[in-house]
Amino acid sequence: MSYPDNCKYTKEHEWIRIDGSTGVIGVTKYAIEQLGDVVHLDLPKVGMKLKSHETFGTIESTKTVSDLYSPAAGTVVEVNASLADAPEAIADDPYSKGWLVKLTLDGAPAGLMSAAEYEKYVSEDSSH
Amino acid sequence: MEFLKKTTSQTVVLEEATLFENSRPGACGIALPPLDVPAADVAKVFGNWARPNDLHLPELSEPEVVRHFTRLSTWNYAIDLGIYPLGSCTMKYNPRLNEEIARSGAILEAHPYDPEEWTQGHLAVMHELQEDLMRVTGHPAVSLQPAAGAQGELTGLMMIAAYHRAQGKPRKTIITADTAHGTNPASAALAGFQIVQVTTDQDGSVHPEAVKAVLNNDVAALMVTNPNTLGVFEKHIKTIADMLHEAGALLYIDGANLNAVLGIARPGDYGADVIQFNLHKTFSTPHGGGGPGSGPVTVSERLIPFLPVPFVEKKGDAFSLSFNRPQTIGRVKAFVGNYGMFIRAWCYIRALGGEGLRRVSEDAILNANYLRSQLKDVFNMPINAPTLHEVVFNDRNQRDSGLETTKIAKRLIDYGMHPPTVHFPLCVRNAIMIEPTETESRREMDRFVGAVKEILATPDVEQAPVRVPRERVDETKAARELKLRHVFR
Amino acid sequence: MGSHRFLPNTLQDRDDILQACGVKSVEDLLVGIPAEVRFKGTLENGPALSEMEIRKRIHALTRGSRHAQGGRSFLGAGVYEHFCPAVVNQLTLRGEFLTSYTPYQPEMSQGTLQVLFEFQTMVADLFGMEVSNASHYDGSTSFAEAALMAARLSKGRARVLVSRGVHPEYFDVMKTYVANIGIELVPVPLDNKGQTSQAALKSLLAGDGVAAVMCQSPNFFGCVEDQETLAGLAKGAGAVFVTNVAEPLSLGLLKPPGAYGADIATGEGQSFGVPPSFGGPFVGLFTSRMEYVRQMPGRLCGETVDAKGRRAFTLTLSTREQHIRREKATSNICTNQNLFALWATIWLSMVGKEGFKEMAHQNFSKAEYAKDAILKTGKATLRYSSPTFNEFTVDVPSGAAAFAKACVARGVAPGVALSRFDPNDETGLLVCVTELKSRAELDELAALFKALA
Repeated sequence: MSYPDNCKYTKEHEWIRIDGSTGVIGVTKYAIEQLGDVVHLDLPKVGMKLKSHETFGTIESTKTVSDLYSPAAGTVVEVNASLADAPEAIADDPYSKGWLVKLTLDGAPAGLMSAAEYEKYVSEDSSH
Repeated sequence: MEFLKKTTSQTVVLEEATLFENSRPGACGIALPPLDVPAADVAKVFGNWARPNDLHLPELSEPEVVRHFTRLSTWNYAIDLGIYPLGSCTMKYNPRLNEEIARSGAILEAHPYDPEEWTQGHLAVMHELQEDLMRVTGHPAVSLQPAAGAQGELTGLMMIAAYHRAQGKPRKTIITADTAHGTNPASAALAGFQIVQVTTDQDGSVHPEAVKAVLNNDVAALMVTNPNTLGVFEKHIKTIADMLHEAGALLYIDGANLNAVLGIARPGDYGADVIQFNLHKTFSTPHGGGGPGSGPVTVSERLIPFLPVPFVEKKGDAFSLSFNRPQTIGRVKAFVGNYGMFIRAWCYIRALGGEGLRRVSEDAILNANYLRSQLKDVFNMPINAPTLHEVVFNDRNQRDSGLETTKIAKRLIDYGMHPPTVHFPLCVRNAIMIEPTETESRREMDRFVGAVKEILATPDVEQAPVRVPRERVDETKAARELKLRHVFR
Repeated sequence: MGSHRFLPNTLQDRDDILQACGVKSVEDLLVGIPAEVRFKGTLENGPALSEMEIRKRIHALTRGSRHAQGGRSFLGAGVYEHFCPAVVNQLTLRGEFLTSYTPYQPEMSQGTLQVLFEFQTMVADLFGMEVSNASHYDGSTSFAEAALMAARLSKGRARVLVSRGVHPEYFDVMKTYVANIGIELVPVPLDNKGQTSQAALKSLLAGDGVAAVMCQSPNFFGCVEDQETLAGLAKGAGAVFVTNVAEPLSLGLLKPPGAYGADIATGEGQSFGVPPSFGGPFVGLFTSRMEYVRQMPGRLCGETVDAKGRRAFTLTLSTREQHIRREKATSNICTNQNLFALWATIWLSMVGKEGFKEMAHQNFSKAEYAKDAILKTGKATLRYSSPTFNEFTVDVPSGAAAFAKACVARGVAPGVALSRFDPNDETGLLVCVTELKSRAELDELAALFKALA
């Protein structure tokens, strides 16, 4: 599995793509495969302020519910409305059409992994 | 598939629509005597609080109702039909006498606020059950009130919180083990605690060093099932109990697996401060397709002041409900508890007696070890320690042939047997957890072993189960589309 | 000990098993239990009794029960005696229902699952709510968990206003449930009509931070409340409105919670023919709006299809539950109250649409008749002027408990003396009348007031 180089990653399997002062956030393909069939997403409202590493919603599969953690601090400016009725679409294209929220960032996020680092991290994770 | 042919036959199963699809205007299943007082005027008394004509209860005659539910019953598996080897669920035979007595007029018609003149017998039964439970755990006090095992856990944890508050030092952490049932962390959270989890050692027990590493003055208690969900008795439990007490913390024993140690080891003797019973597991009140349960707790001296109220007290020859416990956590349930379940458990204990209860545990242990001896060469056993009433395998030996745990479980259904607990405990990957209980005869266990062996020897051909009224159920669709009720047009 | 009737293993079987296990005695299988924690004694739980002996003992113990004594009762207060057709008891004895486990393997439990779907449908319909769960322990714990759910829904708010019209034991259970998690319960008094005081509620809502307003109708004293107005006040302040229906037969006549804007509505399904059984087991009802379904505690059954595309049922949204979500679950509840959800489902399908309304109307008419007859004796007065369903509170100036005691000596429990819940309430008597009482029995009750009050 490969991970886009233009994103940064968290240990909780979120990705963030930064474009100037805006960050787009989603979850990685690896996480979605671990979760199984996604049945529901609980996402924040526009205007919500998030701290770095704060939970901003949940992703629910038939097997489990996982919290979503924000890779960065900022304010939610847009939520992917197309996922509301078809949460399963997140699995088809997690890095593009499957994005979750857009933030206006409060500065540059820290402590994130590069694609290569994340790939190494999950290969260790899955060998357990 | 010789074994399958020898042990099962294909029979007709009738389809059945829902009550609402069967309903026809004008049909009725009951008759009330004619009203013998003047009809009161609903509109006049209630005005616009009166209900418009919008009820959709079904309309069916008595025989239609009887057939509906009888047909549905044939779609269920049950302990009355055969082995139900769900690990840690303790599916044992439910004696019919208990059901008959619990459904007799004297029991059913008793109102919780009946005057004590009428309730002496009921209170006497409860008092005797209180004594019985204390004898089994070696504890000095008890509450019958909790409605189910999970509520017993909550009750125990709330007493632990109250104990530390009363000591002037509230504590916020509960240590659990990785063999714990999900109710443990959920109950702890509801009692206001945070969780720290310790890992079970390769020998199947939690080690004192693992506890020591997380023990500090914020730890309120350690909560562990004993024997644990691997079927292993926690061999360091006494050392751990002493360590906890020295640190001012308490020991909660989850009694989910108490069926294994009746008369063999008593939690009160090895330092437990509280344990909950699951009357449906240990004392055979029927599971009823998922409840009602009943979750009494017994406690050590330390926790007596915090027990829920009321409890049954005996003064001379008279029984009464006492509320006299100034430091009580309060009520966890309205009225006195699931009395109907007390009656059944009381009958069960009377039928076995002290010696018989020990015999129950011995037979449960014998049967589980018999299955272990018959299956240990076909399944992988990740923890190779002495086991009591249940044994945990996994699918490692089968994985190469593509027969993983879920498939094995689902294929057992086609043999007319309920699968074991699967994918639990969480500390074993793809676990297959088997608890035959004392109820199974060797013949039934051999039938189970025969089915397992034939399944493992037969290549995977179709998506099991196929010999059932409904094949593999689409759980994803259920969760995505959420149809939680019939929609009336 | 030789063989026992519950245990199939003969002594020979035990020996054979030991041999198969490669050990000599049961002791050899107990080596995993350290000697220091082994129980050295024998359990002193008495001898093993035969069926005959157990029957004799229980018969002797319950000789003084109301049933054995032929007593009559007008007790309600959260537990109601209603007619139950023989079919219900008979069908719930079928081993396929009685002795099955939780339907985690849907292919082997379609019977239980379809019953749950039918139960959820009927309860939601009776309550006029969008969704019902598969049942809870009982009404009191349903109501307590509703407070927790309301607090989850109104993130950050921690005050819950609870009407004094709520059953006092339900209030006690709530107090226990919230003791460790930072929710504050504030009682709202009743007005002189016996309904939740709107003035008091308004002033309590004026401050911020109210998560929920929780009421009961008909309330503990029997009064039907103006739920629509209370719901409006709650919502005006941004609080969740929760209502409890302790006597859901009343919904045959009264507007259901969904119609007056309840967000969560709970109840006690004991009224659906479940015997009083000295206080349990009963069956808790829990309903809500669909938009809150993921915050609901307890089990849910949903419709889906099987591999062949046929309609099938399964437990769903179990990701909210303890066995998956553990410390983050919506509740620690592990079971539903399945056998009594089945009981209620069979009862409701027997009673049916018209039977339910007729039974509700008979309760109402008979209670009104009894109320008049008691008041005509001049020995008791009606405490509250609010409309009532099948239960009402009277004041007995000579003392309610003494009056009740005198009646019991004549084989009648005339009601629940409220001194049981409040020692200062010496005159209050809560009288309940259901369809089971004949006119003659109601006249007998009035005669007892005349003679003994």
